[in-house]
Amino acid sequence: MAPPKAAFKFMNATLPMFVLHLQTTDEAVFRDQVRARVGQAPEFFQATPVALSLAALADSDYLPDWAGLCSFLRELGMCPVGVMDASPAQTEAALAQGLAHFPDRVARKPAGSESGPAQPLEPSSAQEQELVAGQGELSLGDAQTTSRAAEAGKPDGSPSTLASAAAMATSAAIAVPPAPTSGERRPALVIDKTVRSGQRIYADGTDLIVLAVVSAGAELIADGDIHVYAPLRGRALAGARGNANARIFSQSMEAELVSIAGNFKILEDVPAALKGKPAQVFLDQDKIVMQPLGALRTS
Amino acid sequence: MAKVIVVTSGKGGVGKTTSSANFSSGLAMRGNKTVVIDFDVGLRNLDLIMGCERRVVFDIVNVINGDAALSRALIKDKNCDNLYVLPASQTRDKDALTLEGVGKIIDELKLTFDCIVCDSPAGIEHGAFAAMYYADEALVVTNPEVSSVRDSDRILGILAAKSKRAEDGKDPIKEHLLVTRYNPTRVAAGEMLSVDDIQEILRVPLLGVIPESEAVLQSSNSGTPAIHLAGTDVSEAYKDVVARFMGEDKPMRFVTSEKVGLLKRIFGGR
Repeated sequence: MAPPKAAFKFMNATLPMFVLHLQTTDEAVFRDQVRARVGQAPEFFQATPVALSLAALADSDYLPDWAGLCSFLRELGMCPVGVMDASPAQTEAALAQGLAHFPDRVARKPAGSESGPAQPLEPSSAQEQELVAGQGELSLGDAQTTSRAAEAGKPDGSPSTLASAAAMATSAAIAVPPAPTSGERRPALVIDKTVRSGQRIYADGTDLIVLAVVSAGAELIADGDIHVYAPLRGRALAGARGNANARIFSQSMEAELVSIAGNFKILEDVPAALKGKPAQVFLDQDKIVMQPLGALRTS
Repeated sequence: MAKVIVVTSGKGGVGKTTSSANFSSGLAMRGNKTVVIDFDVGLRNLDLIMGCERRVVFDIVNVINGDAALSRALIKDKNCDNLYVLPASQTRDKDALTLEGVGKIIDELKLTFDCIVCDSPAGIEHGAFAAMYYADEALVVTNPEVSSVRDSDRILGILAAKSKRAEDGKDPIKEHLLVTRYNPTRVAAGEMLSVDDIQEILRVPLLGVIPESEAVLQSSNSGTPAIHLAGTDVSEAYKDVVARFMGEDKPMRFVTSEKVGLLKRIFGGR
């Protein structure tokens, strides 16, 4: 008898999702405005998962009527799934209503270096790219990121209290690019400085090219491919949004962990045949394959 | 223009305070008006190593809180005329080190001093952050051992991302690698990382290698930085470090076991 087929598997995924930012405590006003906005494009919000952000109200003692809020959103076709950036009391009430809690994205108070102010990001020429340098906790230039996504997400571009800012359904909370309206390709994110232990770099919706060493304990994440033209000693996660065709290339493979589209492999010891050598990593039917570069030429 | 130099490492016990004391003494011996600041609020070790613990009346937290003028908190070093110590508080909380308060002190010190050496506490918490925030240059102290190298790597990342220079978009902090407690014999036996291994991982210019030595412990206990113990390898190594920092071209010493043997013959050993 054949061994039973695995009945399930858990995979890490980074999915795009809308975040509804509550910006008023006046529920009547809120409902009117949301209704008006959704009314402009009712199809668009059908069966859409939505996270509720209380970033603007977390400092007040306003306690939203979560049950009422959820049924209101469901009426409009949306599926409220969780809450984020809320105060402990607000979060607790939301949990009681069966909502999930997304870990905080906004660095609340600069207390020490770890949770220090988000590092200001240079608006790069490639607008959608985000370089996250610094601390393990991803503290993005959050306002900047979400507002940009908010602008992009609005059909008419008018100011609105319902900021249809999109965010990722993970603690990483990186702004999602605008809906794929054009077929334009994003330029790759190129990093030319050493990526140190504890740093994390995310190439949003594109490839990541690193020209310097990636130290042990550093983390590279890309929605596309990852190229490292130097020793790769940290972690590399390609195809972070599920692109199973993504690959990882390194001039010197010494990685701690490689992952493609959520399938990951911990490399306690890099195979001797590959260690310190140019190699690539790709996915072959859910299996991570590591192969020396140049192998294709000889065959 | 006054230089602010942070001595940092991430990991504790690698020789930050020892290096701060010797490095600042060396700078002062070469005629630079130097002040060394202890940022390890709550533990306070620098004054012991500098041998001025009995003269501490006011400390950095007193200055930040406005209880004492900066000039009253500075302690003149007993060995060097050009050197002053700003001690840490033993009783206060680390949170007393506000970035604003530290900035004010550093600005005031810049008016009279050439070199401001900041002795960072271990870790990557508030004290370490306050010590490195205003730095122009950094001495990253590393032991030839993997966890120390990893922590240094982490600190280098923070230096590059979180300092005032990084926030203002200025040139990044100039990084120097200082390998301490180096034992060439144990390196040869494969028990310690070699300088080459460390540089391969960190990729930061090497400022110097300080050999493991009993002289360091003796000097700490007697309150006289080892650089003053003429003839010891540690003293020579720290003098080389300071010379290189001042722009002189000095060959690396104390890196291989043969070389130590040779030098021992030249300097007559211990």
